Amino acid sequence: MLGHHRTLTVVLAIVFAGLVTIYAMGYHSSIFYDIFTFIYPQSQWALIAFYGIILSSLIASVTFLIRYREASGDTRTFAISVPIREPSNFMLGALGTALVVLFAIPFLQARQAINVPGGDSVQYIFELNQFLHSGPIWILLNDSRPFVDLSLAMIYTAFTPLFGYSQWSYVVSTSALQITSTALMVGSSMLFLRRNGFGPFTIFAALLLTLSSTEILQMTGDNYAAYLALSMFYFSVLFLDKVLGQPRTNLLQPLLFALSMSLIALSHTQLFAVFCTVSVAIGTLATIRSGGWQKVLRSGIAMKLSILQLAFLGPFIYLALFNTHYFGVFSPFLGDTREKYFSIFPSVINAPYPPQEFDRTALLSLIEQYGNIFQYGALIAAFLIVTLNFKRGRYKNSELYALGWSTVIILGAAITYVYAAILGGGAFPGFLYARRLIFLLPLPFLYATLIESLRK
Amino acid sequence: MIPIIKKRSVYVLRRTSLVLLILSAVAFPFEFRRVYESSPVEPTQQYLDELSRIRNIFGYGNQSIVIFVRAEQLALNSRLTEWARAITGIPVYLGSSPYYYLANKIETQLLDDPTYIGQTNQLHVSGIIDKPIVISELLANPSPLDILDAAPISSGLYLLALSHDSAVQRLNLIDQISSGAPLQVMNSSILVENLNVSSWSLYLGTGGFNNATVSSSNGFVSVEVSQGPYFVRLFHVFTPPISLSSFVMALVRVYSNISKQVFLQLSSQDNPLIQGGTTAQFADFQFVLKNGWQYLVLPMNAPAVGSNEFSVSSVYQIIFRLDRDNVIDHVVLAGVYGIA
Repeated sequence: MLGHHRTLTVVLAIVFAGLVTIYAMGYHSSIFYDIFTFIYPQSQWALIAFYGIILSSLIASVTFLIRYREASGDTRTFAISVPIREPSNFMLGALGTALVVLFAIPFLQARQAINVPGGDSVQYIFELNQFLHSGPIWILLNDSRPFVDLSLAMIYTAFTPLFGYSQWSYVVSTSALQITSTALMVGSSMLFLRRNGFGPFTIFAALLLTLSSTEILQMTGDNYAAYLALSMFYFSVLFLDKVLGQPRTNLLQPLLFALSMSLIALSHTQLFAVFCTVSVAIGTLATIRSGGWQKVLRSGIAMKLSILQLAFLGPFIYLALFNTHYFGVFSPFLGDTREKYFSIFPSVINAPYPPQEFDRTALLSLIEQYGNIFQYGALIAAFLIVTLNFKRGRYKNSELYALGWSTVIILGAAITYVYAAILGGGAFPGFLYARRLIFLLPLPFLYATLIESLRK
Repeated sequence: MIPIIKKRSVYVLRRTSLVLLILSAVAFPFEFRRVYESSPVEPTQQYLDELSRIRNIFGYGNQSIVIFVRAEQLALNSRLTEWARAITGIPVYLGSSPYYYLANKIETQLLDDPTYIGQTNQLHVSGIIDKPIVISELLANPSPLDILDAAPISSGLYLLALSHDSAVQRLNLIDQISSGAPLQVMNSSILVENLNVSSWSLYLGTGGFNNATVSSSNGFVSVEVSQGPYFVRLFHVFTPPISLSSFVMALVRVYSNISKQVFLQLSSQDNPLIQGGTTAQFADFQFVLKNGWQYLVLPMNAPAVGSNEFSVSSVYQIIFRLDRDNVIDHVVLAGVYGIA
């Protein structure tokens, strides 16, 4: 059997390398576009089926999780299956670099032809210039996404000597930021999957599929904050896994988790809210799995994390609540937002909320841009396999995390979808949200389960 | 035997799915780039150069001035307002006229535009009001009235500093012009002079023979136009010739009951072969009439087409040409004004 795996790997590697070479040399195809245009008129029904199957699968998985624990009376943590060959750090580094380089090729191909991508880039350039002229304190107090802008400014400062003051400096800096986010997501996912006992081929293939899916997020070119926040969350999950795995651990892991979550809040407030909910869901499932609340409550993980979180974000929350001249982190959501954003427009009723209105433009472009129908199919298959593993009681930590994480995302997507279809009367862009939320699924964990299953 | 075949089939199916999935993951991003890539949303290099020029002249992040960007389709499509703020760090006012900012008035017709709401609110919350406003010909496409009191800073670049009261008066004039209402007498800061053009003659020379009916009443000249092959041509002769050099613009108040093309011509040739006919010293202005009362604005410094011999300091006649394109029309000419 091992020989079959090796043969498959070699054959795939050759075909894979050939494809990359062909495409990198400029070959064009329109396979996905043709399929997409065929499916698109029925996309609403396709999405209903997609969400219906996944939602059923999630409900079944949670039921199996609870039933299995009750039936067995088991209160211990499930043993993670030991990998046959755990990939070394060097191997992971090599595979990760190969993936990042692979996905940087089409990204850079497009950047050659087009200057600063998308419409949102201009806001980032504004913040970047403000950083260069007014310094980091100005950014922290006046920018609703300071971490991503500080990161961009640092990269820009590094590249400016090479390109001088020109559009190219912006193009190179924004591209470098996206590629850095990709590297962050790849690296942290690889470490997490290795902790869960996946081998190098599965890790590589799962990340390949993930990048192919999230490529849309970075390819639209100007979703810097969303993509960085998403990548940071994989990093956070790595620490969360360590915290939940060892409740009585020292302060370092909770501190790192709280710090990385705070950086998400300083990058993208809406996603911070989503990921906080996901963390709670994962923690809840881990608690159910490990046999009751008492153990977790005794260790005070939730309180420890909350206090650390508040310590990092407290100043920003305070400013948002009490300072009407503050336009930084949380300002569009906390405090008297009407006074801040519509103080001179008392006659404007139901005015568009600035961040949501801004986001809608990006979403409109996304709806036209998601075309890989195979990946929808792969996701459905992955969820079904996860459910099967829960039924058998043979699941990994990554699947438990995927269950908690996906439940939050899919429920959110389903609610927005139903609201758009039934209550929104077409005015609410819920269909767009529903599609976009797919990118927020724990794709590496789901794809890893799928790949592992297909390799058997 | 059958279970073995079945097992073999499942194995092949799994492997095929795995291979297809991985290959699709490689192919998709490359195809995606070509088919779905969104275009950049930015103004042309000419605009970016202009913004760099403004930044170099006034300094990055200068909070003592505001840049005016006219709210028109080009600006909205290319996010010119945001780019102006990003490149210069200077506060930006997006609107239909710089006088709205200087008069501290809300532009109700722009309340649906989130950029207008965001930028304007930001100016007020930050206390950036009553600041001099930078008017660039490229970014603002200014009317003559916009730069009436502005100080030229550089080629195509002006700085307009005006007291609140004066801005309110300018805005009143702009509102009247926009609405087509009769112009009120202005105080000393704006001179509105009636040029007493109440009688228009019908040109009956070659190409002007037509079926139009002209009648005058209380200084209003009504023209009933029926379908025909040529333009209806009316003219007024200034005796003696008048100078318009002290005016920034001339306004012709017109009523129309339908959308129609119209041309206005100023002539400084005092000995034409036929009055109202061809002239060698002219400045042409072209408009499209809309339904209702309106003003046709003739900027004195920028005729659409003109001859070198035309002199704004000696205008002999004004000629009005009205299209007769298959549509019966009723047009009223209700006076010509000079604005100084």
